[in-house]
Amino acid sequence: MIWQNIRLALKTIRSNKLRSTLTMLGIIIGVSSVTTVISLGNGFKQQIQGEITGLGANLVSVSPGNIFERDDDGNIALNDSNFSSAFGVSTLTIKDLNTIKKDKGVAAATGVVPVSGIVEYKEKPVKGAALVATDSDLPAVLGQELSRGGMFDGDEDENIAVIGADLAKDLFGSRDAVTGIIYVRGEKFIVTGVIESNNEQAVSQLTGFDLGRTVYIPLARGATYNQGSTNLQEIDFTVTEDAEVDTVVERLEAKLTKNHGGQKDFSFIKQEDILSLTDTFTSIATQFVAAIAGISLLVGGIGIMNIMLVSVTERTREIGLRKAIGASRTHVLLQFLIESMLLSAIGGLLGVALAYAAVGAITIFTDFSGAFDIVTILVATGVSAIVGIVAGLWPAWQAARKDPIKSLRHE
Amino acid sequence: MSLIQLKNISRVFGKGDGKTVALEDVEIEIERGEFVAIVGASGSGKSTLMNVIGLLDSPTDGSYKFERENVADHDDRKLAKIRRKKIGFVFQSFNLLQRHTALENVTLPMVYARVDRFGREKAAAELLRKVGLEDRVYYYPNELSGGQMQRVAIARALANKPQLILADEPTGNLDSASGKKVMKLLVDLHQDGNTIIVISHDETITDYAKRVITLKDGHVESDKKATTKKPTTKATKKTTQKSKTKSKPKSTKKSAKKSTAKTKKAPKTTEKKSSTTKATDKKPRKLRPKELKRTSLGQPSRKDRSL
Repeated sequence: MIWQNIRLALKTIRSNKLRSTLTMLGIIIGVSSVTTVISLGNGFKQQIQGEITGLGANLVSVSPGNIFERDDDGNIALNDSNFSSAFGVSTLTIKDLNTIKKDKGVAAATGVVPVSGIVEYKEKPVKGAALVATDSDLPAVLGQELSRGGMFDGDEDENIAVIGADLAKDLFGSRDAVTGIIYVRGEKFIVTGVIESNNEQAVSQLTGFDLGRTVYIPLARGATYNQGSTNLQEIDFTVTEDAEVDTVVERLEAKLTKNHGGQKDFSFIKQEDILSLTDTFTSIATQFVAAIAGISLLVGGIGIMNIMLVSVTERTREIGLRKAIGASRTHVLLQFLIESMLLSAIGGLLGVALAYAAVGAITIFTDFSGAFDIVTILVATGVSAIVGIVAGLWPAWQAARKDPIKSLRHE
Repeated sequence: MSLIQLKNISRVFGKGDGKTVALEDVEIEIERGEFVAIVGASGSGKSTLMNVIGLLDSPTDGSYKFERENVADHDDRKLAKIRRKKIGFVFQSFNLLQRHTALENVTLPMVYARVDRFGREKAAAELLRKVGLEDRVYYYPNELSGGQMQRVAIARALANKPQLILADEPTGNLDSASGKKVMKLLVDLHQDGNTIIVISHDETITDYAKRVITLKDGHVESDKKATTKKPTTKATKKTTQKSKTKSKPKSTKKSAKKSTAKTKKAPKTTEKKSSTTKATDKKPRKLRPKELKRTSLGQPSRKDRSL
């Protein structure tokens, strides 16, 4: 009976191609937009997740200012007290860096200080180059590699620099950048190494600067340019294999608070914190856009209900005949419900197909990539089938309760 | 054993001043294997009676026993089941589903009776062969002539081997030749043992029936059993039918029929045959469906009320 109804419904849908297509359009648009948005959201999440886990889960960064606080579940949230510590001069010092370096749970630690100054090459300012003072552990902490040369190797007072790979390519082209000369604040610096930028996007998200286009100078040199201040913009460290990240962070938080005279004016940010932050933000954004797109699904459902009501009226005589030859109310109800459901579910499938194409195109032509999974397809089709059933209920009931005699006389 | 037993059946529509009495104290018993014609002018209540007998309508008052079962307090599901299994309807306007082939139309009642697909199609093909449409199995209603459509409808009525065939003005939308063919088919079905009730305002129908119930103003006016066949009336009726004048001397026909019965039989049948072949020749025979659709527009005037 059900199977027969499905065949019948497909026949009806096929024989009214234009009408069926137009009716489905609402569902198609609704489902495809919702699916596209969700896929892109998931793709974005996965992208970030992949990059961050590529950095290693045991990387922790310390920022000045108590920006975040943890709730009881350990999730971080914006802190609204002591907010001003996030602005102004950084509260992290070399002392803090050394404290962290000395901890037994820390594998490597580095600090960065942004330095004000123009980088010049061949007497022309280098555009887009960031100037940062750091120490030799930076590549190790961030999981970066030196493609050429080495870091400062203890010559912290020398006029030496390590530059990002992109910058090296820009300035020196195919020539070897090592031993090349650049000028920082008018002083001559010799390039000793080139940092290859792996996980570039994730690192820049973490540190806030583009590794590929940065000039790194030794911390001590950087301090002389910042009026002697060696306050660190950020400290990054990795936790040793056998240490527990949370334990180390807790211990270091206590130590640093002690360093700062009891003021907790810094924040430890773990990889999972960044993950949960981006997760929260993308989820909210995705849900918001999906909800808006879902409205078109509602409109599509109304369209289906409308056309089913028209169809029931048009087929009054058919309904009368079916009843006369032995169809019960349930039979008629089922016939129209299944038709409505199929109409919507087919629309849903087409919508999913459209979304698949759209996500594919977006992945090819933009930096975004969508994550399209079977769950999304099933949910989208299922939801549209439910929309079809709900939209079909009233028309189907109208059909079922028709009086066979009047229906047979209906013109 | 009586198949249908109507006792004191009344059907009243509306209330108060708008009240109309369609049936009043109707008492009819119909046995298995009968061929009954219910005739009457329009407004005599015969359509209401057919709806009541066909379980499409329930009487306001009185008792209706179908196969000795009181159907008065049956719910929709039970009534639908009786309609599906025990009653075959034939309508004036055929009521075939337009988007379905002849075969699919015939299978329809069997779908509701949960016959499997193979069984349905086999039975439907057999029924179409029985009504002489074995070469029209996959034709759509709009590719068939009126007479052919009505024969598909009869095949459909027979689908679940019903106890009763209820035909409401089965020839009403047909030209006389096709109408005769349809009536002949009903006569054949009756001879196979089917119980048939034909409802009509056209009294020519009474020539085929074994029993004629005349309704007037919601009452049974007369209930006569015909004892012999009346082939002559067909011959005489033919002329009256063609001129479409309904004035026919009832008394003269009855006296004339017996004497002329045997002599007129032979020429009448040949005449009938030629007229039917002519009629069918006129209809598209072996054309492709697309062409057929076009030519069927030019068919003799009939009300094509397929669905």
